[in-house]
Amino acid sequence: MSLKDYIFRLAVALIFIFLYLPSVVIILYSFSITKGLFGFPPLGFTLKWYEDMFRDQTVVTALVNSIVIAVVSSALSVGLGFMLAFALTRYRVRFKPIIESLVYLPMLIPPLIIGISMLLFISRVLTLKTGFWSIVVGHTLLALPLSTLILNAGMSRIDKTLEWAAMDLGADNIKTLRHVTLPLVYPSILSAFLISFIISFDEFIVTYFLAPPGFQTLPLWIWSQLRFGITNVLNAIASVVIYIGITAAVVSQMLRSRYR
Amino acid sequence: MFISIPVAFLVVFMIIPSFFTLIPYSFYRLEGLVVVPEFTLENYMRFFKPIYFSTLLRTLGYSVAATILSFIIMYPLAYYIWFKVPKEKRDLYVLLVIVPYWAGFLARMYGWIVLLRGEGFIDGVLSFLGLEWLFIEILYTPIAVIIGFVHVYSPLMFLAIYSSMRNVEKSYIDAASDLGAGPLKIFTNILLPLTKPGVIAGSIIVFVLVFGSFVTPALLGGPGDIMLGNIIERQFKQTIDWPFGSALAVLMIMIVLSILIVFRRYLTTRVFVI
Repeated sequence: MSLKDYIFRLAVALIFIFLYLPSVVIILYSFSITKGLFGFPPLGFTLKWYEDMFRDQTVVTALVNSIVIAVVSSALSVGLGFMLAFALTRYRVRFKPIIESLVYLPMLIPPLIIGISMLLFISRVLTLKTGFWSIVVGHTLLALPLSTLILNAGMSRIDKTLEWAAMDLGADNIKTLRHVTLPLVYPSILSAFLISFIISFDEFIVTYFLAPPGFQTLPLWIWSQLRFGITNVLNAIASVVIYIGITAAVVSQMLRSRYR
Repeated sequence: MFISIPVAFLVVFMIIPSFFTLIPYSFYRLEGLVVVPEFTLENYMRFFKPIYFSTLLRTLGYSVAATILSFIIMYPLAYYIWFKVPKEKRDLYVLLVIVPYWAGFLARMYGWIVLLRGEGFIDGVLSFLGLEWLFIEILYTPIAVIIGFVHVYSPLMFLAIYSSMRNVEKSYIDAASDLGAGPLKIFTNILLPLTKPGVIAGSIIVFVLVFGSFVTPALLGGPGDIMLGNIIERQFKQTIDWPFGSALAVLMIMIVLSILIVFRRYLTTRVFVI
């Protein structure tokens, strides 16, 4: 290897350090005892911050809310994404380009805009109070593009002749969908669900505008800590968010690549 | 039909709120604390005050800086993974680049606060090594804000560039090299033209996402480092001047949408799923 190659490798290593350092430092502090909040070096090994986390009622409530919202909105975004992907890959759809840009828009429109326009629409036009369901809808909207993309890719990969064979043998549309299409795209469905889950679980901006006073989710709780005073428990909670996010992303990616 | 349900969902919860609620609201008047539905252009005129205009310029500045820096770090990485990493390990490397993107948005902001703050982790390492004179004082400055943006959004730049890089064959580069082209010439005459769609897509994505942000400058920047998004957020959460906030939001949507429409042919879906 030449010197040039070594320099290149070093640069790549530095980029990876840049990408991982913030998460690694938080996880490190979540297990250590320090003088003050962030003494250096972080010493010892303790699970105290994780125990404190589960003893704090506000945190537990926020965690439960986040999980429930994430499960419901992921189910919705996978359901809607499945309908979209099914129609876009199986049928000749009118206005296809327009529908596609509509579907992928929530990924590129600032979430800030989605948050405030939903707030205006729900509170001033529908004159309803925002809360759990508006947050679920907002998260579904944000997760729909990626969920549709994943399902679309999964669905265009399966062999359509299997579906035709089922129909030739007398299965109707519903039976074919249940016994042939669904089992074949199952990994994509799971993959889309995991990505939707983590989009919702980690979502802060739309939640911030739609959450009624007193309603907590994990990101809202982290935000209030970051704005109004950090405690040691935050290291544990941020670490939990990191573990869940990384696990969901890795499993989701593996599900997609194994069945490619 | 199957497709009408999701399309109706998108229309009801995205199109109607953003276009048919936000836009009318931006022309309403605020009297005291009450929104009066009378047509006025006042909200838009207020934008031309120097403070708002300079914020728009700063927002553009952050977006451009984060886009260029993401390109500078992610282009070589995409090149390295496609050309230098053995075939069977490439997917693993790609996964390693995108995993941090999912490691918690606020958690990553928090990570940078821990790293950059005075007597934070980086200062700790430096003083441990006896290098106190190198102490960094960049938390709550624009530099920290830009670092945060690059960290959050550069994996998306990577995905876009990498999706184009996959079309480039090693033989093109070898051939150019055999014919006497130097690294710079190979980059400008072969690599860049062939990966242009990915570079443009990645740049648009990073630019647009940074442009609409408010959390990163709120957490990593100082009071003077705010963006357009922070002013909008304030109108909705603190000042409660929703019509003015709506007018600024309409301005933001118009800028974002015009960029997306102009470059729409580069924003293909394969950019996002590897």
